[in-house]
Amino acid sequence: MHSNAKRVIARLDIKGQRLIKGIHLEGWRFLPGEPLDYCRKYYADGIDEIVYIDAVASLYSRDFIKDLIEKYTKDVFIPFTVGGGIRSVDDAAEILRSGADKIAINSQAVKTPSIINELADSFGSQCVVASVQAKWNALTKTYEVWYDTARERTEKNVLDWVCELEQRGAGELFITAIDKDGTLKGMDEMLIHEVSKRVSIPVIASGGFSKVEDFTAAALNGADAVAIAKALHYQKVSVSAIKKNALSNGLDVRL
Amino acid sequence: MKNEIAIIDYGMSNLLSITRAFEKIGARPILVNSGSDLQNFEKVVLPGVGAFPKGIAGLKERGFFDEIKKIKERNQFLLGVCLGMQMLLTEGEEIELTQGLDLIKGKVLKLPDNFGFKIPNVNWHKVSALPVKNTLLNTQLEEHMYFVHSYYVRPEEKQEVMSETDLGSFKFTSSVAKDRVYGVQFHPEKSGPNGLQILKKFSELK
Repeated sequence: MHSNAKRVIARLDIKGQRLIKGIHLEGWRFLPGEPLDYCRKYYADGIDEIVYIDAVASLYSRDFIKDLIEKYTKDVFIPFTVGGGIRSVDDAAEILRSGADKIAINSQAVKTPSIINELADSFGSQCVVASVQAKWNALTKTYEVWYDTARERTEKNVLDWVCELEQRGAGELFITAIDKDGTLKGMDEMLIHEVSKRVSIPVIASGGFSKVEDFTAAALNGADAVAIAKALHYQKVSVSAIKKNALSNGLDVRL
Repeated sequence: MKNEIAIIDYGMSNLLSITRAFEKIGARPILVNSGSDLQNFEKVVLPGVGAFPKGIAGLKERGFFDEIKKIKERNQFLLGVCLGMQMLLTEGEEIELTQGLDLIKGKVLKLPDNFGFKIPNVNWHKVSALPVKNTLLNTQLEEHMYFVHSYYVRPEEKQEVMSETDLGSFKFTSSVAKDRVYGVQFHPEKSGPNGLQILKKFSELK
């Protein structure tokens, strides 16, 4: 097995110029302070990566994101992924040019899956993070793919969709369990396990993180990284406590 | 000027992060886009992301190729990062066999695909320092650095290997050092405080 370090990622959802956090990807609330201050704090605490999701992705907020990247690179020296509203190779190029290391793409991939191939061909798989919003359907007993910030439903099965995304050239999968998102009630371990089993690209698990043990559980279920929003923003856990627990469970983490 | 460091701009990558990283550690990075400017600097950084042949072509186009080869006779310090490190070697096999700068004897090869790790290799990995003179690395502790690559270097001389990195059962050279020429496969500018420390050590070399 490879000696990849398991990563702790901070997820920042942005609306306008503010950090927001909802429950089940809706019911957004504004958090106090500047998004950049959260980045700086998490960096100082030892976060391995930061993911920005622009919830509105208007032209105006795109300028803000560029400005944010510009400021981010002065103080924060770890990889940085930007997602939200990327509809074309040109959109992605603009974000990568302004200094982001990777782009995350969700809705447009659902609408036109070939954009994953185009992005991978243009920038390399290492830049392309395919984001998937998964919701359990109790009737069919399957995970369904949702998009447009969990407003739109598809007929796609998550476990098929992640394989397709890998084949098309996605470099990583960012899986959000909609049912768990923002609840602080623990992650969807079955989802993480089922997805990780099917793909060989790194899986970033997101949604529901509440306590340090959740990280170890996700890693043991096959996740390469865990993305945390609310539990970090509301200071329910610290990055160092997560890593300490992971180390004591024999996982490789960056110190 | 004191503490000025030339950052070679040959059109291959976004230089914002590496520039900011040098600013952060108190150096004065200066972007240079023509080979003739290099002689004015005591320290030179060759960054880069992308394919080997395109990188070499970019260096030649802006007159850097021959100027970088004069680094030794001018007693300058050089640090290659990622593709910038790979181009220090004799030749690269990416896409088509291409001659490198030949400052470090050896080859650039594709990562093997039968060892269970994914290519491109994108992740934090431990870097194990080997005993070389004037190392830029922490020799006391194995530190994690951030890697993004599909190719790796294989120097001919073992004593020019500054560190190795283990991807399970496959071990490769993750940094090199030969006299005043250094190269790192990982991205120190994306590797947090430990990465910045490497840039700081380079900037303080005398």
